[in-house]
Amino acid sequence: MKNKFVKAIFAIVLVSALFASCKPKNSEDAVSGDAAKKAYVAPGKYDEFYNFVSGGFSGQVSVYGLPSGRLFRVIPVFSVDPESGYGFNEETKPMLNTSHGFVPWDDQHHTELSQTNGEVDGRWLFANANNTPRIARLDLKTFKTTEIIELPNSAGNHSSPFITENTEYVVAGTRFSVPPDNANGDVPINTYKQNFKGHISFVKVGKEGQMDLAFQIQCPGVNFDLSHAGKGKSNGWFFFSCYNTEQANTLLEVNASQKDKDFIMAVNWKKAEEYIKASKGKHTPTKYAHNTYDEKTHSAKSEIKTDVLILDSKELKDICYMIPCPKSPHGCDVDPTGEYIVGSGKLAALIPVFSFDKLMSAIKNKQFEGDYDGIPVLKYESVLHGEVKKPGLGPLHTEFDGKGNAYTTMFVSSEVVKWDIKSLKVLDRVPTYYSVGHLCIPGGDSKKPFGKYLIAYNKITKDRYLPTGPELCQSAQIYDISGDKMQLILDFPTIGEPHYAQAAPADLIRNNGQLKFYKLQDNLHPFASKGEKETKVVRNGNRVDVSMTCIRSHFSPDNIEGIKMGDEVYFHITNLEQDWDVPHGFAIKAAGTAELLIMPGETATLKWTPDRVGIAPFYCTDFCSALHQEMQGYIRVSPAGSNVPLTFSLGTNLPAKTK
Amino acid sequence: MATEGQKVAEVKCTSCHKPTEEKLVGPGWKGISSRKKPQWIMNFITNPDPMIDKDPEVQSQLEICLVRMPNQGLNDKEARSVLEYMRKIDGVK
Repeated sequence: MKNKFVKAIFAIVLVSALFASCKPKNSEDAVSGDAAKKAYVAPGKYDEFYNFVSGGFSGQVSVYGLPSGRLFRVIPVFSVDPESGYGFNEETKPMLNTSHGFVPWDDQHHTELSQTNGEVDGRWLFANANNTPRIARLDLKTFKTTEIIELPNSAGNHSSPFITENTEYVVAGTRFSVPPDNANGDVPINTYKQNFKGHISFVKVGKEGQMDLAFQIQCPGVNFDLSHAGKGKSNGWFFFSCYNTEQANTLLEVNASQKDKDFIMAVNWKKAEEYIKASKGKHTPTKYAHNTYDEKTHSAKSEIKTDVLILDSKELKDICYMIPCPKSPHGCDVDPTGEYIVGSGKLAALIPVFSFDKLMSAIKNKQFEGDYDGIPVLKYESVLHGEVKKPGLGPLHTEFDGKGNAYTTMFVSSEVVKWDIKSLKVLDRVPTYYSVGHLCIPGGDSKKPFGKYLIAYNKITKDRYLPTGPELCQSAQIYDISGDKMQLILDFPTIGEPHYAQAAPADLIRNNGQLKFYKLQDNLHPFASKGEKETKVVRNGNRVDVSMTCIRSHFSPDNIEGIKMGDEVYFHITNLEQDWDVPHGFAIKAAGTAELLIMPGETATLKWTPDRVGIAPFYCTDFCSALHQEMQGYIRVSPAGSNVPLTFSLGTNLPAKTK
Repeated sequence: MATEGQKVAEVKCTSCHKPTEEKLVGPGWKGISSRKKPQWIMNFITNPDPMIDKDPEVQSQLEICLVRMPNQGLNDKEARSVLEYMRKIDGVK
C-alpha cells in the first residue's frame, strides 16, 4: 500500500517535470550547463575578439572583449569626456566643432570597421553622429578619434557610416529629408513634397584614412534608414532602405505606414563617378566642418568648407533604382557573396531577399512598374530571390556567418532567427531579453565572417539586472553560434544605448602596431617641454603660458607666483614618461573647464581663469606611484595691478625665515 | 659622446637624478662609475623592470626611493652616451 502511494507520487512528479520542461518558464531555462565555460576568459588571458559597440545617446563608442563581455574602454567620439578631457582640453575642442558651433553631445548609432578586399583589416573604425550629421574615423592603433567630417544638406545621419569593400567610400544617407542648405528653408512644413530633399553623401577615404566629401546624390524627400555596400559581384553598388515614401510631414507613426511597400534604393556609385568625370556634378555652396587630429602635435584643428558637388538623381539616369520592399524597411544587409540583399520590413510578417543577378537583368530588360519622382521603380517579383515566411515579428537587422546562414533580429517577438539564405527556411530561433535591436557577428557584414559568436543588443532591460532606479544599463547577450543551435552564453551590460556594433579577431587589432606611448623626440606640440630644462612661464599681456612637465612624482615647476586677476592661464603639460601605461593627471582648484589626463610623451593644455585672489593648489589625479600623494604644487594669484613678480621654481623656493 | 648623453639625460633622466650626490626621486649620479660596472648601468637603463624584480641591490634601493625607475625607452646608443655623461661627471678618463 505504502509502496503504491510512493509510486503514484513519483509518477505525478515525473509528469509535472515533463510538462515544465516543455515550456520555458523564465529566461534561466534558456541557459544550459556549459554556458559559463564558454564565456569564461581566465584572469590574465585575452579575449578572442574586440567588439566595438556604438554608444547610442551617449555619443561614444565602447570596446568590449568577446566572449567575456568585459569593458576595456569607452572611446570619446561625439561627446565631451570627463575621463580623458576630450572636448575639454584645448587640443581636442576643435574635434567637436560644427557649422553650428561647438556641439558637446551627440547620438552615435553605427560603427563600421575598415575593410580591404571585403575583409575587416583592423586599421580604422568609422562612427556616425545621428543628430548633427557627421562621420568620425577612429584610429585603431591609438583608439582615438582622429577625424570628424560634417555632412551638409542632411539631418539625422542614420544610414551611415557604411563602407565599400576596399574602404573607398564611407556613406551617409539623411534620415530626415530637409530643404537643401542653399535653398530658402523658411517654408511651410507641409510643403515637404515640393521643398524637402534627401541627400546621400559619399565620403572618399584616402590611403591614410583621410576623409573628403566627394559628392552627394540629391534624391526625393523620404527617410533613408540604413544601408550596406555591395561586395564581390555587387561591388560598385550601394543599397539604402527608405521609409516614409508617403512623404508625410506629421504623425509619421500612422502616415508613413500607409503603403504596402516602400523601397530599397540601389545606387550605382561607379556610374556616379563617371558622371563626375564628365563634369555633370554641380558645385553648390554650403557650409560644413572638417576636423582633424594631428598625432605629432597632439592637437586638432577645425576647418569650415563651403562647397559640395551634387548629382541629381532625377536628371542623371542609371545611378538610382528603387526596389519595392514591404512595409517600412529598416535593415538593408548584403550577404558575404554579394548576391543577396536582405530587406527587413519592420512592419512586415516576412523577410524579402533580393537577388543581385536578378536586379542586373531586371535593369537591363527594363522591368519597371513606374517611377518615383524620376527614379525607375523595378517590379518586385523581377528582383526577388524569395521571402522568408513567418520569421517572427518586427524584423530589424541581419548578419551572416559565412556558412550560408543569415541571422535576423525580431524586435517585437524578442528573438533571433537563423535561416538559410538559399532555401529561405527558418532553421532555429532563440529568445532575447528583451526586444532586440541590432546584432553583430564578428565580420558579419563583410565577405569573411568569423562566425562563432553572435551578440544581440537589446532595447529593453527591465528585470535582467539588479535595479538601479528608473535608469537601467542596456543589456547585450552573447550566443554561441558554432553549432546548429544558437546557445545563450552570457549577458553583459553596455553604456548608452548600443545600436550597431562590429567585431574583429583580437590579433588583427592587437598586432596592428598598437601605440604604447608617444615618443618625446616626435612630439611637435608647439608648447611641449622636452625635459625640465625647457619648462617656463611666459606672460604676454594677460595671457600666461605655463610650460610644465610631469614625471613620477612631481610637476616642474611646482611653485608659481605672479599670476594676477584677469589673467588667462594656459597649462601646457608634457608627460616625460616613456613607458606604457604611465599617464599623469592634472587638476587645479576651480578650473571651469576640466582636468587633464596626459599619456606618456604627450602634451595637453588646460585653460584656467582664476576667479579670486589667493593660493590655488594643483595635483596629479592619476595614481602614479607610491609618492603620488606628494605630486602637487601651488599657484599664487594676486590682485590685478599687483607687482608680485612672475616666478616659477621646483625645489628651490625654500621656507621663509620666521622672525 | 658625453655631450650627447647630457642632452638625452636632460629629456629623459634629470627630472629624477641630479648630477650631484643628492637624491631627488632617484639617487644622485655622482660616484656611480665607481659603484657600478658599466654593463650594470647599461642593463638597468635599457631594461629596468627585470632588475627591479630580481636584483637584491636594486630592491633595497627601491625601499629607499619607493619609485620604480621607469623604462624611458632609451636605445643602446643613447644609454651608452648617458653612461659617458655619468663618467664625465665623475671625471673618469
